[in-house]
Amino acid sequence: MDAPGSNRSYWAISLRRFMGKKVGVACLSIIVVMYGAGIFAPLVTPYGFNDQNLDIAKQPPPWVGATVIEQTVVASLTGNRHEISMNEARLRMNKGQVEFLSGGENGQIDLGDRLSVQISPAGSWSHPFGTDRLGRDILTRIIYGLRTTVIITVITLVTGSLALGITLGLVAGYFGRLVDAVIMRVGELTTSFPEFFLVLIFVSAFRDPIKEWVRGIEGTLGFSIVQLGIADYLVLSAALAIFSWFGMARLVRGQVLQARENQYVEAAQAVGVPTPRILLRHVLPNVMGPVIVLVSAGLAGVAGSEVFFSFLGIGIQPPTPSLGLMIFENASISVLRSNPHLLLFPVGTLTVLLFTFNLLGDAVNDAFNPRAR
Amino acid sequence: MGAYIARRLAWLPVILLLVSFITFVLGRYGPGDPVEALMGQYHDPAVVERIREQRGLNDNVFVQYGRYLGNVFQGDFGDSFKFQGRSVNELLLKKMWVSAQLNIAALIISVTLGVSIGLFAALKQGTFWDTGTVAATLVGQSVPIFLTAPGLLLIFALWLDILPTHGWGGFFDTRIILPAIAMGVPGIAIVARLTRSSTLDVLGQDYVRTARAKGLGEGTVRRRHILRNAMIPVVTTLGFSLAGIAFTSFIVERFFGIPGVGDLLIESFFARDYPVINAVTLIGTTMFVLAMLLVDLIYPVLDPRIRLGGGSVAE
Repeated sequence: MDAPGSNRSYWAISLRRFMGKKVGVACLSIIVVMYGAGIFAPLVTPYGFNDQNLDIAKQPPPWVGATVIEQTVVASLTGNRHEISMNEARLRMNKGQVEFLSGGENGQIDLGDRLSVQISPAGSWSHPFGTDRLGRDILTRIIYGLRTTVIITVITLVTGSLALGITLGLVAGYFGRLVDAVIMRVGELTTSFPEFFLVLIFVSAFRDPIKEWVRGIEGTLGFSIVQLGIADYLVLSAALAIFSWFGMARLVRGQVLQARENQYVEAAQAVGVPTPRILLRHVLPNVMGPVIVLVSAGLAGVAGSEVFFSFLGIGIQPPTPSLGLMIFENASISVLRSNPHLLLFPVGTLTVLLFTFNLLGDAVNDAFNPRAR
Repeated sequence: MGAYIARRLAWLPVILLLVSFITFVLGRYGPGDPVEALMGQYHDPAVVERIREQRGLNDNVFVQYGRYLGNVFQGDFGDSFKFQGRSVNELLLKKMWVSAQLNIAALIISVTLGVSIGLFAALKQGTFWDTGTVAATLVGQSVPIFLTAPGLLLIFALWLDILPTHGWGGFFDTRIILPAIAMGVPGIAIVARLTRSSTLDVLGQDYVRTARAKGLGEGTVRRRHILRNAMIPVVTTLGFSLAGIAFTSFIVERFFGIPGVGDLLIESFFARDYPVINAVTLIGTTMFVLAMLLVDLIYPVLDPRIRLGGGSVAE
C-alpha cells in the first residue's frame, strides 16, 4: 500500500481532499487539543478536579477585578460591630472585607454613610477561568469534564455504532431473509421510541447492578476504581450505544446489499473463501467511507446527549466532573447576574466543541463521501 | 401510503405495551422496596407483609401488571412513593400542562417565524438577505440549547432589561416569551431552511406563472399558490425534526424557573419514585408516537393529490 503511485487509492484521495480543507483541519486540531487535554488531564493541570479552597470561592477570571457592592447605610449601627442588616450575611459567607468610605473611626459609621463591601476576590492568572462556589479551579473541571465527554463518545461510538452497528449491518445485509428481517424490525422498534425515555428506563434499571459489578471487580483488583466514575461511564455509554447502532446497521446493510452483487464477491464465494473472510476482506473495506462519514456526523449527537443526560441527573453523577453537571449547577439568572463565569465558561466550551464536531462532520462528508461532488 | 399508516398504527399498541411493561417491572423489582421505603427504617416484618398482601404486591407479576394497566386505562397512575399520600395525577397533570403550553408556544414561534423567514429568503433569492439568512439558519440549527438559554437571558434580561426572566404565569404571560424563543431557535432554523428550499421549488412551477398571468394579485399568488404548495414538504418533515426539540423543555424549565415536568422528573429519578417515572415515560412515549402519526395524517389534507388507502392517483 505504501508503494509510490498507490496514492490514487480511495483513502489517499479522501485524506488529501480532507487535508486540503482549512476548516476541516482547523476543527480536527481543535478537537485534538480538547481531547488531548481531556485524556492527559492530570498532566495538563496542576489542580485536582475536586481540590476545594473556600478562601477563594467564586473567584472571577483574571481580567475581572474584585466585585464591590456599594450601598448607603439605612439601619442604625453601634460601635464597630458590623450589624448591618443587609450585608451581614454576605460578609460572613464570603469572608469579604468591609471598608468604610466615610463616617467615624474604628468602624463607626452613621446612617446615610456609603458603605462598600467586597463580595468576591479579584481574579488571578493562577485560575484563568476563575473558581466555582467551592473554590475549585473551573478550567481544571472543564478539562476533566471534557475527559468525561471523550470517554463517553469513544465508548459509545466504538461499541454502539462500530461494533454493534457494523456487525449487525453486515450480518443482516449478507445473510438476508429471517436474520435481516429480525434485525431490521428490532432496529425500527428502538427508533420508534423516544430515545430519552429509553435511556431513562435503562439507566434507572442498570445503574445499581453495574455499580455492584464494578465494586466486585474493584474487590478482585485491590485498588479503587469506583471513585473514578467508571460505573457512570459504563451505564451511560451502554444506554446511548443501544439506541445508536441502528443508523449504522441500516447504512452498512444497504452498502452490503450493493457490494454483494459485485463479481469479486461472487468470485470469492466461487473459490470457497469462508463467509467471515469475505465479509471482512471484500465487503467491509468498500463500506468504510460512508461509515466514517456517519461516525463523524454522530460525534456531536453523542457528546450533546451526554451533556443533556448529565444535566438532568440521569448521566454522570457528582463528584465526577461533567460539562452538563457544571451547567446544571449554575443554570439560573442569579448566577448570570453575580458570577457569570461559573456558567459561561462551561457553556462556551460545550458550544465550541459541538460546533467543531458539526463542521468536522461536514468536512469529512465532503472528503470521504464518494457521492459528494 | 395507507399500508404505511396501518403498520404505524399496528406498532402503536405494541410499543406502548412494551414500554409500560418494562417500566412496570422495573418499578416492582428495581432497587428499593417501595413498602420498606414507606415504613421507614424501623418496621415490623409482619406489618410489611400485611401491607404487601393488601396492595397485592405478592401476586404474580402479570396479574399485577394487568391491574396496573386497568387502572392506567381509567386514568389512574397510582400514588407517588416520594410524596406520600399524593397521587401521580395530582402531581403530574398540572406540571405536564405547563410543559405542554411551553412546547406549544415554542412550536408556534418555530412555525410562524420559520415560515416567514424562509419565505422572505426565497423571495429575495440570490441577494445578501438570502445568503445571510441561510448562514444564520445553519448556525441556528446546531446551536445548543445550553447556549441559547443563558444567551437570551444575558441579552434580553440583563443588558437590555426588557423581558422578565423567571417564573411562570400561563400561556398569555410575558414570562413565556424568552423560554419559548430559546426552545424555538433550532425549530425556526429548520423550518426556515425547509420553507426556503421548497418555496424555491414551487416558484419555478408552471401554475405560479399561470396564476400571475391570469392577473391574480401578488398577495393571492403567494398565499394560495406558493405558500400552500411550499408547505407540504415542510409539514411532512416538521414532526420528525421538532420531536427532539420537545425534550429541551426540561433544560429551559430549569434555566427560567418554570414549574414544569423537568424538575419533577429529576427529583423522582433521584428518589426512585417509579410511579411518577412510569407515568411520565408512558404519557411521553404515547404523545411522541401519536405526534408522529398525526403528521402522517395531516399532509393529505394539505395536498389533495396524496390519498390514504392506496387509491388511484389519476386526479
